[in-house]
Formats: sequence, C-alpha cells, structure tokens
Amino acid sequence: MTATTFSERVVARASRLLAGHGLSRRRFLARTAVVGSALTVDAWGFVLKPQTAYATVCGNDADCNNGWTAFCCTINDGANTCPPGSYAAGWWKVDDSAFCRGAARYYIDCNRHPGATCDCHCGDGECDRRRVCCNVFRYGQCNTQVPGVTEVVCRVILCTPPWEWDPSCTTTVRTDPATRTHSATCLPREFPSHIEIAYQDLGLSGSVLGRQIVGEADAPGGGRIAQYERGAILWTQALGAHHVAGAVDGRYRELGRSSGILGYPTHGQADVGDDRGERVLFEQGGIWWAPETGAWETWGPIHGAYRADGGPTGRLGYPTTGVYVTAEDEQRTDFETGWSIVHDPVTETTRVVRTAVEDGGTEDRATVQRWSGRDRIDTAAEVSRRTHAEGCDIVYVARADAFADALAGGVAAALAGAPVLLTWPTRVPPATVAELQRLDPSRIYLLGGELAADSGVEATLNGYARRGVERVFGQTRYDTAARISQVTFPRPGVPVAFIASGEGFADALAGIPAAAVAGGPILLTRRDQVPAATARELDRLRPDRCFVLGGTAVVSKAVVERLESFTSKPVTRLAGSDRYATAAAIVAATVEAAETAVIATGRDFPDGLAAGPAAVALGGAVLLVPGETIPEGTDRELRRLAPDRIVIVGGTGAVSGPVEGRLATYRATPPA
Amino acid sequence: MRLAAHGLGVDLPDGWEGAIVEQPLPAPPPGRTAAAVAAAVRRPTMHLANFPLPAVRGDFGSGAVETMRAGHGFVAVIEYGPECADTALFAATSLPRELHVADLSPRGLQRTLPGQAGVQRFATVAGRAVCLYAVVGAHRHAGASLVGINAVLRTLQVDPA
Repeated sequence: MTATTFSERVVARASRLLAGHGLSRRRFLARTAVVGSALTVDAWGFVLKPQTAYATVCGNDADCNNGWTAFCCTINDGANTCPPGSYAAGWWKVDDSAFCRGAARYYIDCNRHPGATCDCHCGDGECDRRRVCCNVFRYGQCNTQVPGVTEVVCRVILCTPPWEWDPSCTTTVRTDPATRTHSATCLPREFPSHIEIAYQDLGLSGSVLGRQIVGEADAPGGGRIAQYERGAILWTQALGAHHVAGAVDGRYRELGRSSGILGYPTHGQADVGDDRGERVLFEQGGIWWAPETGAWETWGPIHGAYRADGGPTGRLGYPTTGVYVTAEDEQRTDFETGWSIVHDPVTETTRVVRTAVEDGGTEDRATVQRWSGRDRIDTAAEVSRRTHAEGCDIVYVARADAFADALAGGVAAALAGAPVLLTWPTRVPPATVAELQRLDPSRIYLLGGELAADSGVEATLNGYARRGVERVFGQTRYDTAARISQVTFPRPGVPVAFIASGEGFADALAGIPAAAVAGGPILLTRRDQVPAATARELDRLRPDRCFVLGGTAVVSKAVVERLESFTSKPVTRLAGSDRYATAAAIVAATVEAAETAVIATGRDFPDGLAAGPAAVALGGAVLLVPGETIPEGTDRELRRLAPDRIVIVGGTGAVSGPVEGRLATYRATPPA
Repeated sequence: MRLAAHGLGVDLPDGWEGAIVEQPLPAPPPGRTAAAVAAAVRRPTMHLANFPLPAVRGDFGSGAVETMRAGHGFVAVIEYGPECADTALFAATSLPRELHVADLSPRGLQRTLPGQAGVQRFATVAGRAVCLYAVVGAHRHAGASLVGINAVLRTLQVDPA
C-alpha cells in the first residue's frame, strides 16, 4: 500500500466531489488542477478558510460573478492587445504596482466597436474567468472620435503610459485601487523582469516578436536576453530592455547580437518615419531595414557620417551592404542611391563618394543641383537668381497660391527670357521684392486680375519696374490664357498650340518649355467643352498643329474633335497614365536632346511654374516626380536624354533627399 | 449644503455627502524618469452618495459601490481634458437633470454587482468635457434612489472652462 500525504487525500476527495457534479473531463481536470494548486499555494488556508480553491490560487476577484472584466490575453490567444472588433476606449492606473516593479500599472479597456457584435459570457482562462463583453461602460480617454458607450470586451495591461502606447489616448489620469491585485496566468507575475515588462507592453504573443521560445537568460557583459519566434529582447542595467525583430534581428544574429560589433540596443525597433523602413540603434551603430534593401548595419565612423547625413531620409537612402573592408583596406558601406560612405582608418577620414566611381566606373554621371529656398516664393526667387545672374528686362509675377492665371504666363516668360516670381494676393513677399531689386526690370507683367493680386500689389510692383506694371488678365482663367497668348503672339499663323486642362495644373507644367521652344501658346480648356475665349484665340492664331496635353479624363474626345476645326493637321494627344507619365510623354514627343533636365514636384504648381522658363533658358526639359520616388516615365526619359545636369527645383519636402541621391546615378551620356 | 470646488458645484440633499478631489500624478514606470510621465494631467472628480463614502475609492466608485444597499444612490462627475471637448463621445451639450428607471441597466456598471444598476453619460458642458456616472443600490427599488440622485442632478453646476 502506498502512503499518501494529507494534501493528496484532500485532492482526491475534492476530485471525487467535483467529478460527482456532472463536469466534463476537461472541466474536471482543470478544477482538480486548481485544487492541487490551492494546496500548494496555501494548503491550510484552503482547508480552513471559507473560500474556493480558485480564490485561494487566483485571488478574490478573478471569477465571473465578481463582476470585473477579463484580460485580453485570456481571450485573445495570449495577445495583450485589443481583439478584432474592439478598440481602446479608456484607461486607468494603479500606482506603486508590484506588477510594474513599483511603478504605475495601466489598464486599458477594449470596448466593442459600434459596428461589431459579441455575446456576454464568462472567460475560461487560468485565473481569469472574468466577464467578457458584458459591462456597458467606458473610461473615455481614448478614441473619443468613436461615439457612445458599448460593452468592455477585455482589458490590456501596460507599464507604459497609455498615451505613448496609443496616441489616441489622452493624459487625463483616472485611478481604481480596487483592481490592484487583478491578474491572469497569461500576464507577467508580480515583480517581473524588465524583459517581461517590455514583452507585455509590446503585446505578448500578439506582439511583433510572437511567442517566447527560449526563456530569459544571462547575456555577455552582465545583460539578459529572451528569445521569441520572431526576435529577441535584450536588457542591460544602463540601457534598459529593447526589442529587435524580423529581418533586423536576423542581421543582428549574424553579427553576434550583443557579443558582436554593435553591442546592446539603446532603443527598441521603430519606424524610420518615411512610411517605408525600420531601424534599431545600438551602442556602437544601427541596423536599417527597408523592403527593397533588406537589413544592413552601420557602425563606427561610417555610422556617424550616415546619421549626420540624415540617415535613410537623407540623400543616401538605405544601406545595401554592411560595413566591409575594400581592397585598399578602407571600411565602406554602399547605399541604394548609388553613393557609398568610405572610412580610411589610416588617415581617419570619412568621405561620401559615388559607388560606381569608387568601383572604377567612369565619371559620366549627371551632376545634380538643387535650387530651393525656404518656401515656394523663395524657391522662385532662387531659380531667378540662378538663371538671370546679370538681371533682366522683363519679369512675370504670378499668384503663389493659385495656378489658374499663372500657367499660360509660363510660356510667355520663357519666350521673353524672363523669370517668373510669385506674390500673395494682397502683399508682395520680401523675397520677391529683394529679387526684383536685384533684377531691376523695365517692365513687370502681372498675371491675373484684382482677385489674383490687388491694387496694392500692383502699386508695390510699380516701384520696381522702370516702365511700369502691365496686368494681363481676363474674366476667367480661359480668358486670361487667351489674353496672354494675344500679347505674346500678336500675329496669327503660329506653328503650334498646346491645349491643356484649365481644371488642373500638372499637364500644363511640362508643356511650358515644350510650347515655348516650339513657338506657340498654352491655351486652356474644360474637359467637355472648348471655352469661347480659347476658341476665339485658336480661330485667330490658326496654328499649324495642335497638341492636347493629358488623357481623356481631363480633355475629352469631343474637345479634340472640336479642336480639329482650328488646324489643318490632326490633333495629337500627349498623355500617360498619370501626370508623371503625361509629362514624360510630352518630353518624349517634343525634346530630342537636352543638356539639362529640370525636376519638380507634380504635387503642386509653383516650383514647376518657375522651372518651365528655367528649363528653356538651360536648354532642357521639365520632368515631374511625386517627391519620394522616380516614376517609370520620368526614369525612362532621364535614361534617354542622359542630361549632363539635373536641376531639382524645390526643397526636400517637394523632392526628397533619396530621390536626389538616385538622380545622381543617371548616366550623363547614352550607354553604348 | 453647497459643495463646490474646481468649477464643479452641487447642493447636497439631506442625507447626502460628497467630495471633489483631484488625482495625484502617477509614478514613473520602470526605466523612466518622472519627466517621462509629466504629461499626465490631474482632473477633478466629484463623488456624491447617500451612504458613507470610504476614504479609498476609484474614480468610478469602486470601494464605495460594494457597500451599497437598496435605496442607496451614488453619483460621480468626472472631468476630462479640453482636447476631449466636442469630440464625438462628448458631443452632447448637457448632462441629464433627471434620470428615469428606464435609463438604468444592470449591465451599465463599471463592475457588475448583484442587484445594482447604473448609467453613464458623456457631454461637453460650458466648454468642459465631463462624464456623469450614477449607480443605484437595488434596481428593483431604483425609484427611491432616483429621488435623491435627481435632486442632486437638478442643482449640479459646471462652470465655464
């Protein structure tokens, strides 16, 4: 006969009692396990006090009839996150919590989203049978754009302030000391490690790391490490606990993690802020990841130079290699934009070079320049300074915040060899005044009527034009374009006329240099009807050819048919799938060769307006980019034209640093 | 007796007591300095009840509501930050001056307790984002509790921000 302890006899009897209540095998096993735990935790308390085994192990507030809401990790497959169909609706805190190593513990209510459904029931987690989707209640500090009060589905636990966890949560503090002891088996126990807290606040199994696969262990240099399905969390006393995940952790592992050249992380993995990549910073460097480039490290002087250059959002973009040693015993990292950072350990110098040149390539790359100012007005003045260093006789001035009157004036300015400067409707900006003083023109053409620039603007401009200001305007944008055409092309019989939509600016921008070089105006049209002013001007001009800029979405077939009555040759449509492709199509059709390509954003008009006359002055073409990438059509034309020089008009907010870097990789002469 | 502080005021009916308090600032979480959580903001909370309020209470009455019996009423008025004012949750422009039995629900509680019922209303009053939370000790005898609760609500005043 085998001897049994008192505890074992109690468990056996409790099990028999429970089994006699019609419980399923699963429920029976779960309950006998709890009874066993109760005896382990507090055997005499369990036997002598009038409380359930469950309460002995799990506390008094963990059962369904205690009225509180369950924890999300209990009902969400271990994830400490709001489950689908719920949202963070508010939060409270308990100070001096053992669950957060003595700091405040934060509880976030995840409420049912108004469009979702759920049924009120009791949870069945270990030490968390609390209510799920029952209590219609809202703390109210998060997502206040969501109206109403719905059921609390479950609670997320954090040691991080909620407003840092979810920016929709406000900082108004609410407290509930009655929830101090609430916990669940899926949450870290009291007095957790720093790594356990970091994992909890990332979302436990619902985090980017996934589930834990290797328990927490010592790491070199007195640190600690825990490993998960998709990464690791590393901790040191000095740096705290930070996570490294996915491809970044893959590279970190290849480099020996904390034993390697990078050391411990100083910050957790985070977005770079360009809607593209992620980064982790370490004691000695960083790892940078983007979908197109993968994860690569920088460290030492190269890391310092890279960060000083703006990191991934600077002109270099993301690295495409780690730090490697060249045949000349220099350290080097290559970047996606065709640049490399090279460090010479002998001379202790670091330089940024073109990758191809360092690789023995030729110097046949385009020279890239950026002409920009603090804003659109300053940029237009800067373009003027670059293209009219000796001053000029004529200046065109257009409204800075509306394109309607300005587009057609770009052609006139280009033909006159004049710059386009910008003004506000009721005052002339200082940058424009300063440039007018420098240019010292005899005549200023002011594009648009009183609404575009009032009499005060005209009076101010008069002070900077020796022969005064002449307004060019009509009743509508179509009238204004026609009037500019009359002034610029007083005699009929022009070789060409370009017709663009008057309802957008993009197609006309690329057409400005094309029209100026071809010797014809840009006139504007509505999508489905040729305006009377445009028709009259075409009837007067009788152009040899007509080009329509843009697709049928902006200029209809009916308009093209109407335009054919004004010219003896078929009307040609120059269009692409979007504004960038249309600009490329215009250049492809009208520019055989160009020494200079002028790049401007296609998202707004002022830079492109100033770029048009500049492109004519430089013997070039205008191509458009969206700011962060080089579209296919723009890329194709840059390869075809192979310009010696590429001029970016606008700041990095308009055309990004990485785009500038990529432009520097275009060849300056066509490949053999 | 008039109870007023932090721009909140109410006339207490006979047998009612109350308090208006501001929460203390939180302690910094591990690995952080106090400055890291200095963004946390205290806002006033008003608690009113026709039974003895314990010294330690949650903002929505935990610690107090557990002691309620039939005929008892509890009212909390809680202020939020100005960033919440006029948002969708706080779109209403006034708090109710009178509650009815039909407004109360056993599920309308922060913590479901047997027999109790509650209701919650959010609004922007005088430019201030506030929440009203009312609990009755026994849903079956809610009428008796609502007499006192409605007397409180009729004199509740929220001063302009």
